[in-house]
Amino acid sequence: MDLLRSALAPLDNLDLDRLLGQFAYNPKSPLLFNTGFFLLLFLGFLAIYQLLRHQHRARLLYVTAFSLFFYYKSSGLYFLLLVFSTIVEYHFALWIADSGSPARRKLLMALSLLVNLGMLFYFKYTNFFLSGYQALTGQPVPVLHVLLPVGISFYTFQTLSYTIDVYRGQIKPLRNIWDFAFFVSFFPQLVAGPIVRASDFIPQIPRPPFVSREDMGRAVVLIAAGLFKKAVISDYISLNYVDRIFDNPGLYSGIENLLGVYGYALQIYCDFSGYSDIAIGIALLLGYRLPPNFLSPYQSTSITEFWRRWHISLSSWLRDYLYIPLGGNRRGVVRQYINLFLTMLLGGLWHGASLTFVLWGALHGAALALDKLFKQVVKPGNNWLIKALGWLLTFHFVCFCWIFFRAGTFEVASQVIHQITTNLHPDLLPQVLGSFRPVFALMALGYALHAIPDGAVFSLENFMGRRSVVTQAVLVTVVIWVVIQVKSAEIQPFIYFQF
Amino acid sequence: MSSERSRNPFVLVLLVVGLLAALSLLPAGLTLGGTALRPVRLLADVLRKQPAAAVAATATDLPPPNGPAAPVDTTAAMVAPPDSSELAAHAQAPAVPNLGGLDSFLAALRRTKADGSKVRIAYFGDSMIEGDLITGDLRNSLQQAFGGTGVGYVPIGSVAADFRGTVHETNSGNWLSYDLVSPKLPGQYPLGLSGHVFVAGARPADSTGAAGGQWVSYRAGGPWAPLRRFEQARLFYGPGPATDVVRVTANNRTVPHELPGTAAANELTLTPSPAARQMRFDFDVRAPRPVYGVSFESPGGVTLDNFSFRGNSGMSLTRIPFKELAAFGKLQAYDLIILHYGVNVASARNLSYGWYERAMTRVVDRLQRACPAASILIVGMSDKSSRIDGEFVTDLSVPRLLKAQRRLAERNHAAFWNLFEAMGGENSMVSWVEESPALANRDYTHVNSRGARKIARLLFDYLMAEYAHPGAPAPAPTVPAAAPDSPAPKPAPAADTAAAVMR
Repeated sequence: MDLLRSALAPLDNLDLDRLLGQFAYNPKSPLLFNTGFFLLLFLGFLAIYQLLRHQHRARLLYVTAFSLFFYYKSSGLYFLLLVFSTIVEYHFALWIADSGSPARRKLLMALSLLVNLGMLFYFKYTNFFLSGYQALTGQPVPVLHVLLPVGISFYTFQTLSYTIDVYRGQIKPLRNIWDFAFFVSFFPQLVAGPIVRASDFIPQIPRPPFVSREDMGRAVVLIAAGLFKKAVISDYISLNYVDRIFDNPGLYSGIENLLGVYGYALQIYCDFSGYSDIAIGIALLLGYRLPPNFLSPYQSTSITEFWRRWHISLSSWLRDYLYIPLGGNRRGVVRQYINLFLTMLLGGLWHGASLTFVLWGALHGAALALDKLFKQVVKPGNNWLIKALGWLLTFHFVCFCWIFFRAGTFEVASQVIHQITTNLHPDLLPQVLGSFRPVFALMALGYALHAIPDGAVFSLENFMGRRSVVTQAVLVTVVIWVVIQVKSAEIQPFIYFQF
Repeated sequence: MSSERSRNPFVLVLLVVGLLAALSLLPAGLTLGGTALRPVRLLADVLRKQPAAAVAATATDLPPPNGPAAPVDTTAAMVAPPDSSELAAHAQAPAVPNLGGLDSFLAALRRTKADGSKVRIAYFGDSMIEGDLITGDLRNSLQQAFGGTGVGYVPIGSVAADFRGTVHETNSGNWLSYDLVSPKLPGQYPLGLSGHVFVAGARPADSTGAAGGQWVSYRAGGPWAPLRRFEQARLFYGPGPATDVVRVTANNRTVPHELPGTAAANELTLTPSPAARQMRFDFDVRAPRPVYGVSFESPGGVTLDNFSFRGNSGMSLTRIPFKELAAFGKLQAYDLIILHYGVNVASARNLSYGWYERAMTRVVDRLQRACPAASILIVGMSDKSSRIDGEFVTDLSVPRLLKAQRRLAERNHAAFWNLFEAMGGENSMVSWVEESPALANRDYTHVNSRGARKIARLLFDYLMAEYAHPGAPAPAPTVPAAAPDSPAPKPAPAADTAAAVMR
């Protein structure tokens, strides 16, 4: 009894205002999966979700309502955009499917593109192009004060894939708007992907959700690994090392900058893939299968392979809805290279409204074209040496491109490159490693985990699937406990080396 | 699969929450392998905020305000009564006290305004001012208001050379050099005012090339007009035979100059005509000869020298031999010396900074003796955060160190400017980091160029508020009061101070 009382003691301190505040829109604290509040909220959500398991319609409505709340929490009134997008695209798809005239279908498809891309363009790129216009013409233009709705790049691509697939006749349109709303707003992947294709998801909607033993094991491993990647490795090395380097590259020697670039490569992978993994895991717990989004990309031995392993839901989207409509490889070799380049250029712009992202995309596009050319002309063998060289080159090329992705401005990027190429000072390496021991230990661990073959991960998932739910819960709890330890650890003191 | 039952994720999540709740019952203060374990607080987001330990601790360690000084003795006595060694420090007050506070500097500034004469400022600091951060903006504001051109003193080489936006410096890379952190300092190559010495005609330890052929080149530039041309350049070098030669290239003409002088520090003044964009110095010496740096300036107006040294607490300035310090003092005749340190000393482990105050008293005393006419301004440290239980808060050491810095100023008749307070006081670093665009870096210690510009503005406003006082002689050992019309963000009146103590 005493134990129960002491367990409930914290509730005496319950601050009703703060509790209610957690449910309100707060742009500074979006509802991230790696927060304590989400865990409690998800527990409550699941309780009702399980009760509604066999009530198909009620369950879909319930999840949709929760998803809208989830979106409202991080974007406020912009959740109406999501509603708007849902209503508009639902009807466009129906009209397209029901129309007999090809011209009419084409017009409807164009209108749908206009609405979707127009929305994306307005919120994400208006200021970018206005400032570009100003730079070119010298005429001052007003800056629009629009906040970027969270996840707009993800859900516009998701709904676009639906309408385009209907237009192409690859899928049948949904005949119930609530089913469609469920697809568009499904909260696990709503704000940060993966970009789920209608053809992958829609067939799952009518089926009662089913979580097999393997699914459960997979979900547990994905969530645990995702939390570890996102909230331990990525958050720790960015706060304690990488951010400092990119804040002021000129103040650090080349070796520190180089380690910063390697650190960022790991950080962005862990951040992005970790969050994706948690999303896929949560969807699995609800009985829905989302396609994998990252497959150990830094194991790639060519840039073409890298793009089959990195942010797969985006790269396959770009392939199917941009590269192939541009002509793909059907219009000759030169056209194919141009198409690859253009696809990646726009893919770069998708990541953010800045010329540094455009350059990042252009570099990747050019590399993809070169890789194709190289393979056609040289036809390299497949021995271990070629693979090792390919890996080395690919990894460092990707790291080089990350400099522009992270730097924000060309000035910062060129400082990083300048320090690495002219002020390397490798003699400082032992001092640097010694002074930031936890950072580099975590980095080494992160890269070591990344090198684990996919087969081993599948075995772990199967192994966890065969364990009891208690063991599974212990694994997740241990990871959360580590996250808490790392999250509240003191930060590494700053150090500037003499070089 | 059809015979299998669907798993229940609710049970999984319930167990996780239950296990975490059990972990949250663990007593606080557990350690694992020497590392303190952080408590699990599942409901932290929805519980009443408990007064953070940090806030409670800093309440008694209240940072001194920029406003009218609270009676020193009471605040000082409240926490740490001066011990005997601190009293000893007091007894070591400077041998040649200036008029007190900023008076001699303000008098010089008024002279400059009246007749365009020269006013010279030395700004010593650590990584906070590297690359001419803060000093660049401050210099520009002063030059706009009182005239003058040039970036001031630039050493032959610096770790932050590439980072510096106000002058571009390159050198031959084969200079033997020593500085404030060199493990051993050979007597024949004493450090100069910037804390560096560069030796022409000697081979660096890690080089196998020839001993000679050292050069350094400076290109003017940067965001502000007064820095885009070299009007006058003064080369500083150590003693040696006059047959040593420096070939100076400016405006595409190379002219050899002899390097006479037997003083600890000597100067060669060059006035390129027209004012040069670039100047190169090639040294041709018989025997190794110390060279220090070049000062770019104008015959009148404001010159402000940036003496940054990363990692410096200020204490190591005593490694500069007094002979060289005095020689530079004679050549430069500073009107104001600013000392801006702290981030390299502040550590929550230090409960008292009496030792720092004593060491810095020695630094101030030596500088004052080398530059008897100079006012001295101690800039109190900026806010710096540490993470306590996952939340960034002002480091416990900040108010303690500030108190020591203010005492240092008071006991040495120097002026004191509380940067911490000017930034916004407690936890201001967190908002500087989180502001968009950010004003500070995510080490929660250093400001970026935007933050530096803001600090320079605040410091300039403080100096101008002092300047606007029509000839008010500051009572000697006191903290200068901000003028009532001071634009500083928080000229905290005494009443606020009292309220803050009680919080």
